[in-house]
Amino acid sequence: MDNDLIKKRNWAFGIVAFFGLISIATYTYNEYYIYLSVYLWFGFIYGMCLQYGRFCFSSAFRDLFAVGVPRMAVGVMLATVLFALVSAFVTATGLSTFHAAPTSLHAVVAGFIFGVGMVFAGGCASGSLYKTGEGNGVALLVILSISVTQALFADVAGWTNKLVPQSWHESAVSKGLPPTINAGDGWVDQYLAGYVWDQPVMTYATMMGQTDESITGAFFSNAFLGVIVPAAILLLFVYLIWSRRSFLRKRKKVKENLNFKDDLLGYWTMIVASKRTAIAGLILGIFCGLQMFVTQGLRVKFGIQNAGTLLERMGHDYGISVNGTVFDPGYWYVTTQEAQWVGWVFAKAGADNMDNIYFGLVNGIPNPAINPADWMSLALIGGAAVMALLHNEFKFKKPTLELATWAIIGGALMGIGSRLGLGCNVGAFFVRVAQGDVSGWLFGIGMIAGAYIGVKFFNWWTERQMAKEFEACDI
Amino acid sequence: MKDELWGVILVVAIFMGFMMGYSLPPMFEVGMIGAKPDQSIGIKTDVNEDMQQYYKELQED
Repeated sequence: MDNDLIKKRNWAFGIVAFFGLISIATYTYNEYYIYLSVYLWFGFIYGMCLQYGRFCFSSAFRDLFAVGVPRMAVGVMLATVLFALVSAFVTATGLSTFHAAPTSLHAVVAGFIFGVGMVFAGGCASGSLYKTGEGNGVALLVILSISVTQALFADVAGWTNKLVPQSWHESAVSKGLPPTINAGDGWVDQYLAGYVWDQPVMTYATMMGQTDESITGAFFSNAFLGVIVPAAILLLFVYLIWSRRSFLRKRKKVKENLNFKDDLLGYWTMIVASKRTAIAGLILGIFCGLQMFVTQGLRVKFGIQNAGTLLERMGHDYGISVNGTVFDPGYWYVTTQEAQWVGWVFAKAGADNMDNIYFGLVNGIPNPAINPADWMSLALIGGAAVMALLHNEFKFKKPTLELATWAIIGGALMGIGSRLGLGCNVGAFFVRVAQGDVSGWLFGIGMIAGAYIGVKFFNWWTERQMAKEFEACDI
Repeated sequence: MKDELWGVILVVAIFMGFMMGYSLPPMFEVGMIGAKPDQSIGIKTDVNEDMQQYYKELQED
């Protein structure tokens, strides 16, 4: 083994030892810290899976729309199906920590903005995290851009109040929120309390008149009707448009008369070609479900419903929302914790950003050092770094000015899309779709459309740039 | 690097095992897991029948 590999191996072990020490030391200091360690180790596993499976929605749609390679998109779809089956099991046991989101066209619009942004940035919210773990500077910039944009956007007020429809304003004010929140001031506050909260919350099970926890509700309505059937139809489209022609061309070389069976074989071949992403998806699905179990168990043990109570018991009451809560989803989530740490920095710098719904009423802005979801994201980067180091795929990459510009623009769009859709490609799509939340597919439809437009714009931009360079050469 | 990866997986498994062992017993205790159909699901308390009646009446008030 050469020196470089030994160095990388030592770094990998160093990262694992660091997280291990944090878990042991904090647990020794106070038993409650095990709640944060749960986030840490699940985040670590997510990071390892994402890096192993190259689980990036941006790459998936870019490969599909730009060069016609469906492998990653198929893998993402399969991962969603596998996660849905695990989720159905967890929901049927009544231990799910998931809450469905309001369903309306806002999810499509949010998904569209997010989709354009992720193509511009060259990585989705989860993809940027694991790529940061691989040493990619552009991905780190994307995360910074998502984080800052969300923190600013959630608190935006002033002239943006003039853009708020009167009906939203009236509805927001009538909600009777605590006076410290001031729901009638701020675009996002009035969007949330005046519009989004008025939309119906539904899963496929509740639409069919069943409960999510029933066997038929969880497995048939939410998983089968809500995920497996639409995924199979989408995969059929992908096969017909991008995969069929090349498969049948190859097939014709070994068989003269092709029939329906050959198409079935082609469909299956397309699916199994995405083994690596699907395996990552299966492991992700199992551990996402397991995280709900473990989190729920700890909530019962400590007699809490939210980590905010634990933080208060430990003497950390700074940045806890007016409801006494902090962001504590109990499952895999990406963007809110990114907004929180920047929100915390802004607050420390003197900004008054606890008067909005996002931070002040729901998620809080606790110190990132004791923020459970921040532990998950940092460990996710660490897990991806360990995997990359052990596979000799870790490399520091400095961003060029052009890539940095796209990263910032794309990250900003993703940040805005995330806040409008109440989540990113993970929280608003992957998790929601898998749990049978109707709004998940709406966000997905918008995200796919946005990615398509983003790819087309990028192609146009690149060709324009190349034409300019050729012109310059001619002169 | 395969052995090293298994080493990492082992460490992760140890921590996961500890956390699972830590969080599952409370769910058995309160009946969220493993409760029989005729058992009520909820945290065990020392509230006797008289007290239960008292609470019911309190709610009615």
